[in-house]
Amino acid sequence: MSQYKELIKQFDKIRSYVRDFYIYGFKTRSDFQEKSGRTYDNQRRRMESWFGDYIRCDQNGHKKSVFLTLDSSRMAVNPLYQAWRSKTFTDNDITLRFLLSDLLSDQKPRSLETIADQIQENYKQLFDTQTIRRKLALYEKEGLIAKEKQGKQYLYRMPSPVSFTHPSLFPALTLGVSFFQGVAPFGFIGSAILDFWDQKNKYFRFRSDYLIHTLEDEILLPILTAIEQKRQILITVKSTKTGRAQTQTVTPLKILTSAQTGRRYVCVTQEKNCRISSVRLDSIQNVELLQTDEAYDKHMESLDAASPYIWGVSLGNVQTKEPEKVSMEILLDETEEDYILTRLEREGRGGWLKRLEPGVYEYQCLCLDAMELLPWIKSFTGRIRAFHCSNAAVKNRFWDDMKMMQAYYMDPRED
Amino acid sequence: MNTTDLPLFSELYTCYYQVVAKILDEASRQVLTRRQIEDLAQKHGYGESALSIVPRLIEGEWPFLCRKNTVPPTYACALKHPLFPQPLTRLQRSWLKALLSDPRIRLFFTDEQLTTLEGYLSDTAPLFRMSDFCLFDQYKDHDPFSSVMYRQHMHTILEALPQRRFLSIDYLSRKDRILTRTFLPCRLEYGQRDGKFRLYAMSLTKTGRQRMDILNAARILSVKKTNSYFPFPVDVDRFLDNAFCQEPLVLDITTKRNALERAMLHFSCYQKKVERLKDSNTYRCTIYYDKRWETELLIQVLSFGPVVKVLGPKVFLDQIKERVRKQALLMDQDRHSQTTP
Repeated sequence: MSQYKELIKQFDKIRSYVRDFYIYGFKTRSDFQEKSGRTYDNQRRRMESWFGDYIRCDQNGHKKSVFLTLDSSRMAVNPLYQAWRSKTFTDNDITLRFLLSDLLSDQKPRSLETIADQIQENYKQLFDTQTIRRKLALYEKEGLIAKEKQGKQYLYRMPSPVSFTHPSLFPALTLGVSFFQGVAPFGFIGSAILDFWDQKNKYFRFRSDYLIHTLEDEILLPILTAIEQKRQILITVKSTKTGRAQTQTVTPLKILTSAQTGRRYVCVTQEKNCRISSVRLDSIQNVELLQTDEAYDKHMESLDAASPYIWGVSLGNVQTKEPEKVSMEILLDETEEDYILTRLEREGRGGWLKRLEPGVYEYQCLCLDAMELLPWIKSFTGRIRAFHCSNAAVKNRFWDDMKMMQAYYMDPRED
Repeated sequence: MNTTDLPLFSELYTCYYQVVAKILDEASRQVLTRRQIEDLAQKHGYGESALSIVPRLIEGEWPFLCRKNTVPPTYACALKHPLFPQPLTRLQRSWLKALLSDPRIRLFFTDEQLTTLEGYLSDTAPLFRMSDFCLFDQYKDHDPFSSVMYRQHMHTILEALPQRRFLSIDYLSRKDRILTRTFLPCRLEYGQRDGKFRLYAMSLTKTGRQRMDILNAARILSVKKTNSYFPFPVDVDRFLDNAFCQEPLVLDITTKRNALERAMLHFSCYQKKVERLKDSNTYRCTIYYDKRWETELLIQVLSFGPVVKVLGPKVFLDQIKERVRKQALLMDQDRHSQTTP
């Protein structure tokens, strides 16, 4: 039986656990049945260890749920980045990391043999040159070491930190990294830069920040490579509803991020039917890069043509479907409630806003899937004088929902 | 951009390396006792990191400390050079390079600095292209990141923040009145939904009382540096604690239409607790929120329609009821004019 360790070898093993602890939080040991109870115990212990300040427990009878909860607007750094800092290493890894950095930080070039000799001489540590060579090769790939040929041998040196070579960039660069580690894709990398400089984000906070996105970054990276190189990918998608996993060959076109709902998608063309659709990034388990898609530019043209009619991420069947027409009439007090007008203007995507009469505005738009508008339209509950949609199912859903809301919240005697 | 050889999940960024570097950095300034080393590992590591790190350092398995023959024994750093700052990896430089195409980068640097940064990253490929991302539902009226005046204001604010320097600010209020006051900039908050910066700025009243104001950066008309500085760091959260709700929002969420999954993700940015209700397909979610953003939360709850039901607090529930009642009246009027669907 292997001993429990705080660090892990593979990130994908803990991705779903972190997600369940953070997003749901109500699950107990018995809900994690895909793996053994012991695996759950180890993962729970890791979560408690990594996210200690934000872990809470709830006891319900004999069942205990452990969950991760925090107010993201108070966070200087996304606590979920801790998961990215959990990679295992060997004693040789850490020893060479510190000794090579210390030895080479004078920026003088040295041969492999000199490095091995000086490690022994300066730090009393004996390493065979093959081990050091492998480590230097890894660091060279990572950009931490520069290798240059002199005569018949290679010399290795460490580049200077940017604050030494470009001091005029500071403190602006620290402030910039402090900000972008919270808002840019792959923010963890920015946070690791701050670690490398022994700095902290002191001045920025991020409201309505969906911290969970960081867990998808390992999936996102090869997808972006595929987009840049116009290649197909083979993705393994696990349905959030059924839990079933299936593979699909697709061409990724764009990453669609929702600032309102916390979801991120990749917009793809399916190989099997050439349809454009969107796949949730958090449902993708694995990505494999395939060959170049010769029809890539054509797919992009289709997406660009459909873009004016996409409200969120749903494209329906772009090739055959006519856009659906939606219109709603909103009541507002023009002297006191101009913020409603502001909402319509800034939150409406495409579409037209028209003043029908004093205090009555009509918002109209064409979109490929009108069902996507309903959450936004329902957010105006209490002001909707009329709602029409060319798709009867959407119209009926809206009015049925309004009636159900009345049944929930209104005293029947008021009716 | 070749991502296959740029692993995100790498030993180079491991928490333990950072903890060891912190301990060594401290030990290079003064010798440390075992207890002090344990405290540093506890402070900078995961919950149980000290148990793995400290014995290996003390016993020399990781040969970075020299034991001194003192009572109790103390330890000094065996390395010769400063631990920080460290040179950046290719992945980190590649991330920085990608930021150069983000319009917000100009808020942090002068044109000259941007040229220097571009020079530093000239042989680096960007990790990603901003153009491959689409933030499809961000509000349209985000801050004018390309405006010359806005950029100048941000530069001044960003310079004053670490200096704790008071600024004289002309501000256009929501009621379109120009307010001029001296503020200490304390924090910048960025809203992902609306693409706006908000400045948390402290001012001192005539009686010397401190108050925290929140200024929309885009509504600042002018910013001038003063020659006054504040001597201590300001704990902004202390001011915000007063705005936290006394009673949390309590919702019942059904599993219909995938509502549970949608709601959990939607509300994940709040501090919350979720329970499964016995013998039903309903979950009870308790959300702790900042009163200042109550209307925004109300709108979010309404957008879920009948799959989310508000149970309390009363003040929140009353607002929902009022909106539903108004909607019922509108539907009645519509029915009477016989245009009901």
